[in-house]
Amino acid sequence: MATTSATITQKRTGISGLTWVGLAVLIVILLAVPQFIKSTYWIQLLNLSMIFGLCALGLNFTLGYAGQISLATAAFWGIGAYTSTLLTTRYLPLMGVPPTWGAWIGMLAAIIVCAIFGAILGFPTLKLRGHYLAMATIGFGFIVQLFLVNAQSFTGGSDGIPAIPSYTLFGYTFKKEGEAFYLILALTVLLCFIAYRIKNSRTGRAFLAVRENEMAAEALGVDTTGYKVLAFSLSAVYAGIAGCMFAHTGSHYISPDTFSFDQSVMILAMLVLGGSGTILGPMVGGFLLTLLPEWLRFLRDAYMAVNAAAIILIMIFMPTGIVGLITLLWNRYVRPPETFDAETKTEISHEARVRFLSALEAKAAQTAAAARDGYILEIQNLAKHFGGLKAVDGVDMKVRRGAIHALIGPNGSGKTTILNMLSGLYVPTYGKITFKGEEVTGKRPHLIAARGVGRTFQNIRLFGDLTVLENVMIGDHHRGKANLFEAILRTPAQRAEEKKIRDNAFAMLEFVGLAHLANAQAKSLPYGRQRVLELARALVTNPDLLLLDEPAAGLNPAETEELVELLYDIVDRGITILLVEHDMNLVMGISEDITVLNFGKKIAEGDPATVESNTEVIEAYLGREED
Amino acid sequence: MLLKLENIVAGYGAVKALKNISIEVAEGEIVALLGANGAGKSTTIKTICGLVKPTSGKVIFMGKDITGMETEDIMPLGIGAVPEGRRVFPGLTVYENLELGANNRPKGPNFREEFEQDLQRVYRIFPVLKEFEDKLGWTLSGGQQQMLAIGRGLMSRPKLLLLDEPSLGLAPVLVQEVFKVIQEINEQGTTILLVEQNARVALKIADRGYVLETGKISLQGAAKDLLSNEEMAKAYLGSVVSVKDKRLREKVKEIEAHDVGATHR
Amino acid sequence: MDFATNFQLLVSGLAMGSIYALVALGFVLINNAAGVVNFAQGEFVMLPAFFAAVLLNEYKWGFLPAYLVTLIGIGVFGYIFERVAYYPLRNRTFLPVIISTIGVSIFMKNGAQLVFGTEPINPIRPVPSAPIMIGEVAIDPQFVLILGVTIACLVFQYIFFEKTTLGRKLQATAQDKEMSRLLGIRISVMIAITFIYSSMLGGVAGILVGPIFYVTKDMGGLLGLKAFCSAIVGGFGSVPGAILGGFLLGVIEQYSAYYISSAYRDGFAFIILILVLLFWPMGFFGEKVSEKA
Repeated sequence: MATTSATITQKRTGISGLTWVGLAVLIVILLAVPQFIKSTYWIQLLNLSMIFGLCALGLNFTLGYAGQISLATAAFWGIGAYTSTLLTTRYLPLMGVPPTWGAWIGMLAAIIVCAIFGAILGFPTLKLRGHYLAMATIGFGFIVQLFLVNAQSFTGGSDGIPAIPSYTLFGYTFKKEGEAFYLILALTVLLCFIAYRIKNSRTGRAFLAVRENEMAAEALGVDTTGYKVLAFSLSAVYAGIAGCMFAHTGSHYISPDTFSFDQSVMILAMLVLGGSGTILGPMVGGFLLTLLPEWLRFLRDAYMAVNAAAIILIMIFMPTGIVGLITLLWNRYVRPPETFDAETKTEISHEARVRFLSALEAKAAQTAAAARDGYILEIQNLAKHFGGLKAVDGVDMKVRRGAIHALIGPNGSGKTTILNMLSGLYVPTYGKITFKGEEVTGKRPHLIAARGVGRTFQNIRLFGDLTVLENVMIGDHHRGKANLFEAILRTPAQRAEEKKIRDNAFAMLEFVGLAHLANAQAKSLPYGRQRVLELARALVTNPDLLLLDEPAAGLNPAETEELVELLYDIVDRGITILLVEHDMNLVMGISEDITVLNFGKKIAEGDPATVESNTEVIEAYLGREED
Repeated sequence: MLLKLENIVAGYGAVKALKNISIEVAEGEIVALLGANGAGKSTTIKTICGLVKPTSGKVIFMGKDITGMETEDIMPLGIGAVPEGRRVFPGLTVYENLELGANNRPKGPNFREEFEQDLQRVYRIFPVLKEFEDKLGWTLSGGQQQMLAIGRGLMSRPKLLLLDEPSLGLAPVLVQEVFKVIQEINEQGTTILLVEQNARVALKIADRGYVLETGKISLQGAAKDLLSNEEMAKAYLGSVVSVKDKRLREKVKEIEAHDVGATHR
Repeated sequence: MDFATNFQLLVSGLAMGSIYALVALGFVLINNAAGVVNFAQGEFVMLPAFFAAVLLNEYKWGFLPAYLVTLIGIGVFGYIFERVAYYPLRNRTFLPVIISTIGVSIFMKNGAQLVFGTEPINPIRPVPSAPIMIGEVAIDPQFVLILGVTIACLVFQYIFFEKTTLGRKLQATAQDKEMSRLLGIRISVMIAITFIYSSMLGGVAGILVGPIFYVTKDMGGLLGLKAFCSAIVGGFGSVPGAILGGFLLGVIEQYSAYYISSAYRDGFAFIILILVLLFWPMGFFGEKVSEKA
């Protein structure tokens, strides 16, 4: 098999046993801290580090996992603080609730309010990207702060609210800094653990998929908008809890100018410096950026400037943050990860083949039961205009169930645009798409994917940073049901489902011959293997119709042969294939039906022999014989 | 030899798009570089221009080793590029696009005169550009943009003109026109390296050709010979319909035999 | 709803709008050329404002020399900024660059405090303080100056970018960097020039706006954000859009502050921004060329 001898690296996922031990030791040390550090000033700083660390950890959901920029963290920190404070100091006492457990109700309320506001802020993500989104979040933060300052009768205005009660639990009041330390530490550990659980669940994978390649995630059935909104909500909740901690401890006083844009920026810096996408990263960042100004205090007036300069330098030289750097060094010097030789290939075991094929037996039976001569896909007068450009100009096409149907035409003829409309990535300008008898024109991609349409992309859209196995597991997303809470609690149902997803994915990898690369990082695979992986990922969604966009592009003849075998196996089991290809050999060799496009219009269709001898096709596509 | 690529290995990341290729272009020739999507044709052009630096091998232009040099230093040596997708400046007029095309020329005393001469020459070859002289780039149609891109490439008076997929997205009639122009330009003294997916049309005007397949050169020779080569015909001209090999043939038979559960017609 | 008040609001709106327009222009030029959103743009207004104020008030320089030196100074600073905060990160994703520019913004703010002290300064006006009276309407002469200078800048901008070869090369770099390189245009030089030019635009804004407000280290932050809003409202990436967006925002802000609520004055820019982003995400002059596959 002609592949490069480039080495493929393993990606470490999950936390090894050694790290758990290390963490346990760390927690024990932390528990002892108040015994050794008696200065309330420094304890308070430690408390603040954890509080900020929690804000940054929350931001991790939006930024590190879902890849969306939010500069409104401080606003949620403030919303949480004010919600809990106002309830505890003003409204709950009116209802006769003593402040001793009022504070806990306050925290609960803060969680709910922040979740709602977080979702509200997440909604603009429907239409916004990158710095537009950042701007919207900045605007949100400003408006919140303005409100806090100006709605004086409600919020106390710029004077703030003093004398906020402390938390009490079983008669023990967490009033002093040293006492609050334990409470904050406990909450921090709990929230870190929850974050860890979320990361390693179906929800976490969905977040990562959205970050790595939103389009591919949608096409695999991940409701990307829903998950982005969820990410914003989670971030808001974490910041809100941190806000409660802040209000009910330390100086027991809050005022609007604490919750400023500058603070949001600081929290972002903590996340990035510590290491975005990790769990320890934001905590490390929180610790450093809270304590650094103290250590630099000897520089007096210059310390903020030096702080800022340090941030710039770290961005230039350590983009993955401190935790990222440590991981890099660890992997290089202490425990290098496995490397894989791209040349080898797992023998497709007979059992694996049988397992995979029998999983599709059900589908075949189902398909046989359906109308034998039915059309699984029909498009009528489909069109897509981009301003003045008519990429697709009124195309009719019918795809028979269980067939291999090819869509060919010169570059720019509209093939990929049609595929994009079929998978829901583009909304047609006019026309109708009917899939399995149901109209799906203009439906969101993840809904179309859930109905049984899988696809691969012309420029491979893998989740590069994730492992091969994780890529395929995400393909199974829409068939999973476990929600966020089940994931956090690791209910038996959720654990069983995770196992099933993992097993399915692994079986798929065995079938396509990638099992030995399960833990390799997807983007380090050679090109041909990446194509196979993308196909495996699309297959695991259990599609009835598979849309393949130039699956043979860049494959050498040997790899193309393997691809063809795979395609025949797929079709044997009742899955219909709609194929866009340039490799004429492949097209003519395996397709049963061919539709030819040129300039957005259909110019011919039929079986290979018919199409191949059609003079218009020859002229347009293959090149005219001219003397 | 005007241009020589010696044992070039280049590409993005760990997977190299070009795995040891060697190409020669002699002065006055039209050389075609053919191959399917993803074969490495565009990477070859980018490597010549310096947008991609090869990890090993040499690029020699007019006897000078230009490997690793910056694009801004390479192009003024006498290379004009008409990249894939035309890349006309959308917010500038046709005239301004052409004017920038002349940026690479040596600024001698007769600069203004020669510039006018070349401009008129471009307008002669592509009369529609004269008509649209003051129109912004984005308002032009695909075919017109292609002409503008070629005209812009000519304005630098290049010794070597690199054309990357000039037929892309053009109606067949336009393609014929564009390729006639390419021939004309060549007859007037510009050497041409032509990258194309439409093999037939490219080989018709080329002197020699190379076929790239996943980063390696699988065929090369005189254009006439390539046109009549059977393997070429199968792979790129589609004039022979064949099930690829015996195994595929058997597979087809197998499927047709097992009609149980299968949903073929 | 009397005429005098309305006219005054219009004039002050256009004046503030001019400032927003100049800063927004700086944003858009840098973004088009380098693909970067410069979160420190507001500080590029604050710093020259301080510098000019100190030269005028403390060192008693004449207006012209003070302004000239300020402009040159901020231009130089813009170049250093490009080399330090942008160039090393130019091939990374946008997040490191954003954080880097935020870092510069913090650095500049606190640097200004170090150098210029914490006292707000009110720079000496180049024009008389007495308002110009047109009937019942009282117009602050500084506003007139702002409008006049801004228009002059915009005219210069038009001539420079549209009518000179260098300007066209700058446009080309912003529209297609790779193609520009293929034509032998040195894009690193073009980008550096863009940064210097944008900084100087900020310098003009800073010099003009200083006499109206007190110059403080925090004045840049909000100003920069509002200018960014202007750019988005006008259609981010569009030069005329940034200018019109600035004027529009300035006027709407003045009217809203007067008729609706002056406490929330600073919030209106963001409310408008969020409305525009939700309903007209392309802004008013957004991408003319429609999105393609």
